[in-house]
Amino acid sequence: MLKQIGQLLDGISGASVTLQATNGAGRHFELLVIAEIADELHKRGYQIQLISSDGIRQSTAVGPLVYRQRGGAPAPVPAASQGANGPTSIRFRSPVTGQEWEIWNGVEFEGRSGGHHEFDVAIVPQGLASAVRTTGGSPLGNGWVSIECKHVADAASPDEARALIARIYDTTILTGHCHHFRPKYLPARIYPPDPALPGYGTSATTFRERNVAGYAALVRTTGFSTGAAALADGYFIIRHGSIAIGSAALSAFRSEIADWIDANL
Amino acid sequence: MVNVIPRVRQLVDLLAERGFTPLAAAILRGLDQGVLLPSEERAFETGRSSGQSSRLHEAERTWRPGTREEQAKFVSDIVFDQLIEPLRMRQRSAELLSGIMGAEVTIENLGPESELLPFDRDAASNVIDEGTNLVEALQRWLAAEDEGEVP
Repeated sequence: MLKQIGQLLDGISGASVTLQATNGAGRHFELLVIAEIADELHKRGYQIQLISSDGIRQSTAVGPLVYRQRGGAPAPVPAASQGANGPTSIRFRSPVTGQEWEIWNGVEFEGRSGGHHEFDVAIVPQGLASAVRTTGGSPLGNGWVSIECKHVADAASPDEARALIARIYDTTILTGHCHHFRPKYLPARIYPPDPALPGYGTSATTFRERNVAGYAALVRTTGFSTGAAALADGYFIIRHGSIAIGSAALSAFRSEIADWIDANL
Repeated sequence: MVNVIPRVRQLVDLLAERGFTPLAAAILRGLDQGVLLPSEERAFETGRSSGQSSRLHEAERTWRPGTREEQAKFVSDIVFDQLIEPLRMRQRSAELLSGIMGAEVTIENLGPESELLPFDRDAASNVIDEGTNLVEALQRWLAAEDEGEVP
């Protein structure tokens, strides 16, 4: 039996180097979440594009389409000058407003403390995304959508919710903070790393206002402990549990976030 | 109760020899926990003061040693979660992105050294099939009473 298992492993290892390098299913789950969002938006008439890390839109007229997913530790956005081999982002254009946005995966954002925080999935204005790529680095603030993805066997602990709440808190730039960080410019929700550039979006006056207006979510393959649910709900963090391929929970998540995007972006 | 841990250690060696180090590490973490299984999960109130309930409820999990079959399932579930499920999710992501773009989209991972690790959808289909066989074989092997006990 041991020999048979060894042979099966030999066959698998020969066919997929990705599996040997991957550190669990976390990144795969994050990409699944992103692809499901993009698919739902596409079905609703949004135009979807793949943007290479050099800022260039991919096209079959130029070459094969590739989605490169960041591996290893979270990192800032690489500068466009570093080339196209960095992580890919997905750009979408609203069929109603014409506004363009980008879906980022595993990017670090800078908080008011100066600390950096990764959001597994974030949606930011296309203009900000381009400005960040000009120099590379982490934007100051957070996105309109911030999602933490968890592919784990256990229910979410209160600490998991606390961690997301803390990340959102530190990266929330209120009107009162703006004069401290970017005194030259009007208050904004998020700023490129280059202090010479203006920000994007409208700043909120209170944390509650920002939490209510944004879309922050915990998206998990399993559920939530009572404590985690109470914390998340108290800070308007949306909870989506039992997410699996083809599940009703996944369909509900797709519909909800696309409805939010329809209404807000 | 028969402990399957000696066989699990052989499995960890097999995985590590073939470069599946994250998966081997995940199983070792299971061993560190003694391959114990949750027996019940219940909510209890914390931070109680003066007889008043706290607003926060934490989940408490109690643990007990698993039966041989349960331990075998515990380990083979880890293998499924870490080996097959990621591939199924990659397959689905590739299908969705290709459908959106109207052309084949290749997914590549950026490895630890920024090397590009391509994802081959056709190869993945075979791996998923073989992986399913592997999990079934593992569960049988770990749970089997015969074939000689590993000292």
